[in-house]
Amino acid sequence: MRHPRSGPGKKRGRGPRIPATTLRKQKAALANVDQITGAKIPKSFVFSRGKLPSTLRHLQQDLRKVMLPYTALNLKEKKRNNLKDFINVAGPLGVTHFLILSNPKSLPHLRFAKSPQGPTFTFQIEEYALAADIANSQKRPRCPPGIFKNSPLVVLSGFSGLGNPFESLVEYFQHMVPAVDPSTVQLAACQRILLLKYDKDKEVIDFRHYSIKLQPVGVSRKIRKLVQNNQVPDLRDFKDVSDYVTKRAGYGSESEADDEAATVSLPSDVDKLNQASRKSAVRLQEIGPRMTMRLVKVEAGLCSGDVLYPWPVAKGAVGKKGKVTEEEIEGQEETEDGSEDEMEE
Amino acid sequence: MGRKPSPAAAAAVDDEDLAATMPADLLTAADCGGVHGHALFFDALVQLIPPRFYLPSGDEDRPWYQGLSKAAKAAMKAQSRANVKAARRARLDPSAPPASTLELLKKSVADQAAEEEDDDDEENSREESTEAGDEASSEDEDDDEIEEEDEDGDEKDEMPIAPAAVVSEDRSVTYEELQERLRRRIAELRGNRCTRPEFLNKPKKEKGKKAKGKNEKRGKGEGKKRKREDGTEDAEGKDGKKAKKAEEKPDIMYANVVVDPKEARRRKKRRIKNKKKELERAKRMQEAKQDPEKANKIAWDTARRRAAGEKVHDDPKLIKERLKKEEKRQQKHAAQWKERQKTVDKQRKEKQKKRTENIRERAHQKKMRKIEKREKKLMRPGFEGRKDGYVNE
Repeated sequence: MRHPRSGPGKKRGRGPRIPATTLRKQKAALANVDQITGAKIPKSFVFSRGKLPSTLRHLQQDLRKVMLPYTALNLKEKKRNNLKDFINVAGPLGVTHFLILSNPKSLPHLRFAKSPQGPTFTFQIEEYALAADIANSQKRPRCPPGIFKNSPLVVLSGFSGLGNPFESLVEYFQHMVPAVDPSTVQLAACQRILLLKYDKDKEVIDFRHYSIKLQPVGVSRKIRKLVQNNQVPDLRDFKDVSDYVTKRAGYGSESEADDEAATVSLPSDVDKLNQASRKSAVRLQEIGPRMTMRLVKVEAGLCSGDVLYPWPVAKGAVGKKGKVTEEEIEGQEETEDGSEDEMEE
Repeated sequence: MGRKPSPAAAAAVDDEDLAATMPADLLTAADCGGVHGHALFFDALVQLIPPRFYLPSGDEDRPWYQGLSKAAKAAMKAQSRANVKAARRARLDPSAPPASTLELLKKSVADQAAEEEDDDDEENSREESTEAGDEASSEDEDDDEIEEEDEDGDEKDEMPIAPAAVVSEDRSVTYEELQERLRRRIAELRGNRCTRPEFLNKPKKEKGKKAKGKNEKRGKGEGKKRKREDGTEDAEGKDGKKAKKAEEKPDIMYANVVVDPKEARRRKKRRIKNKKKELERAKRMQEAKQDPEKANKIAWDTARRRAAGEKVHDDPKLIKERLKKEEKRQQKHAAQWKERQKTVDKQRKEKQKKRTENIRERAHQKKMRKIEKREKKLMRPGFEGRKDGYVNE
């Protein structure tokens, strides 16, 4: 009596067999998804259109560093590449954000765009400083290794209560970096911060990039250095360890003029020095480029489509591919936005 | 071998050797005479033994490690690590009570004596309350003390149980209290209210711009300032404008987008299930766009949603293209299926034809062979097979 299912070629059953193509697709999809929050990780391309002077090329490289790790650091672009090529490549790679530098009429412009059909925000860069310049201006420039292994935290300030273009701009910036869950995030992974501040009087956005350093509070400098360097100090001149520790009779470092507000109590261990439920001071040191940008144009498509932001005067409806206007029509814009808000609410 | 050294000489020799190795206090102890000297000597010896080996540890209540669950094992490991750290600190702490073996031994003895006294007192009070029901008066106490002494022997086996009952009652009260506090805290976190006293009492200072960046780290660390939304647990952590309208000066927004995965899937669906419906909707939206006031609102709305990562399908052309593609794909698959069916049928027919051919051939061959055999018999020399008719004709 032969068992009907048995046979020479039967493999160990693993349930219904999943074909290889599906497995491959699942794996690729998993790579794109952030394991903790379950959302898709936004990736970006930073590139330039047209000829750029060398300082702007450095700025482009700095911007790439800001967007690390989810960007192509060594993206090579050729003259004959169009925007369309980038769009086509972006789809399969999962790239969602484009940062495009250009230099029309010798005025540097930076465009933030969302890949497949997204809106485009065009900024004119009024002033900028490169990361190298900033490092040269500091007494102790700081760039610890592994600082670019995690994406920066984005903080927006001064954007509340503003009208239409800035609302979507806020959403754009908030989704430019992968989502962070404050209850499960590892504090050691938060090492950089990208600060975008809107100045209402001048109507410009300040772009700043800092590195975060946690310093334990209430620990004298000598002990801190001891723990940090993990080396045995030179105790030749001291009779006792207590002499070494209390020699400079100040508890806390000299520069500790922080308020209470600048210290936090950590919920978990960050490293040897900063441990759970201890107070640590948060120190920000600037790295990376510094920019002052002014919003010049908002388009509904990727560098195409209807022009939404500099509200076209004569038309009264959404403008169709209006010309680039350098100054904004502020008064009109505001009244329009006021009425819009009423309608929305 | 047989020679026993004189005890005095031996003692002298021993003393000299020992004196070289023994520490100073042992030597001084050895110098004092009598029982006190012996006591000091033994104390000094005990001092040399680490308390771990000398004093009885609570081995009875230590659970069997291998039988525990994974979580319990991890907890025990963490506990032992914490113990090691605490012990190290305590060892080097000058103000802590000394933890030498002798001190610990004395402490344990004192504790035990105190415990027995307490037990006796509690036993007393319990017995009083159960028996007399009155508060303890001095006369009753005396009587009961005498009684207690008499009954001490009988109560000995009950004593270990009674104090445990009293202690556990106390502990259960505080345990419930803790649980209640935990539940309240969970509810608060769910409701995203900030009730931590450190933050409630802090005045809202007008700070400089520098402090704003530092505020961010604090907000991150404490997880406060969340926008309430639909009462879902994983409320979106974005500080939207609405939450800020009534609130403090620093209008800081973070990118803590904590998204409920189900919601995310719902909002950012890639494939539209019912494309036709989407087409209708897109067409309607196009018509709405003709209306100038609404057009702007719609345009900004879609721009915002796209910036936030949602896929907004508002172009009916693209949807039509998609529909057509789907149709074509389906047709292609149908055509491929038909092809497959056809080839299968054809092959089947071929095979069957061949089979029937072969069978017929075989039958035919069989008949031919029989005829052969029959004709062979008639192949005599001089004759050529079957005769056609008579020879004469």
